[in-house]
Amino acid sequence: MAMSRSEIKEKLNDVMRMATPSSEVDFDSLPETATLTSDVGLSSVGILYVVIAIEEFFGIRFDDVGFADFKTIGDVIDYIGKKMEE
Amino acid sequence: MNSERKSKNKPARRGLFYNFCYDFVKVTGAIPALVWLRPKVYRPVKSKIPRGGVMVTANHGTLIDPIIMHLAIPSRRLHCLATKDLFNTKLKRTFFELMHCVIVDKENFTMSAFREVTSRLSEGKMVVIFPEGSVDVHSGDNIRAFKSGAVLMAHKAGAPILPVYIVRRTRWYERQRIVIGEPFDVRAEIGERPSLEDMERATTMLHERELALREYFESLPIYRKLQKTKET
Repeated sequence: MAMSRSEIKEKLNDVMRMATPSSEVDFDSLPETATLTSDVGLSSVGILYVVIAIEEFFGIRFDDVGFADFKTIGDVIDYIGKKMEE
Repeated sequence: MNSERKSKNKPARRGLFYNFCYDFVKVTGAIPALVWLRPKVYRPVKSKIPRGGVMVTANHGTLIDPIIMHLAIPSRRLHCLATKDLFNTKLKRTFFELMHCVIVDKENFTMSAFREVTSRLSEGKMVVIFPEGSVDVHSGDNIRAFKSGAVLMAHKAGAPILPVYIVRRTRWYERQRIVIGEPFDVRAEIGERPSLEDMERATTMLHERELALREYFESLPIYRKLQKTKET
């Protein structure tokens, strides 16, 4: 099922909130250019954790990607969108 | 983004031929290793090493730590995580694959490596990981902070973690001493759906267990004896 970019972003924000419940970052106001490491505050393992959570939330399976393949929130949204279209 | 990257860990490496080669190297290599290192294993609590998939974690202060782990747990085939730098020639690559190593890229840990580790754990294999992330020969008795990757993979596979403390030898002829702790059930500690912060908490707990193993060894008379020998 195809989702709009904003729907993906909204769902991705839920994943981020679940991953970091005590984070003070306001995910809704983060732009797509926000970086996962410095703006969201995820470590390399954190990004891997989010990828696993995305697989469960969105029902998709990531290819052989690594944490260094995703720099910004926009990269993740692009990838999810691409996988959902397949 | 290289989404088309091919998996470097081939499933064929776990066939009978690979097991035969692994066992051959392990048995023949064990003879000189036993003579040289004369390993002695300490168990603060007499609990059995769990059957099935187990993630073994240890401190990493020397390049021979994977060999030491094989001597500490001789009854199981160990699947060690190895950095891709070790696979830079065809010969090395073949050798480490025969030794059941899992190739990982420390700079960019990929989903294929993650899935490979969790699938081996789910298949009942024993996977060895050094959660400090890299070897530091100058670390001495210090146990550096752990990275959460080991906890994440063990949790995903539902496998217990077995903490092991490798005592640093200061002289080449000293016996190699190893302390094996109690299995640590990650899912029981942080639940089925943990947050990233829960993972960090479990990693801290694992690190504390590792420190407790070091403290246990330091409370033994042999430690004081070794310290006295060092001073003289």
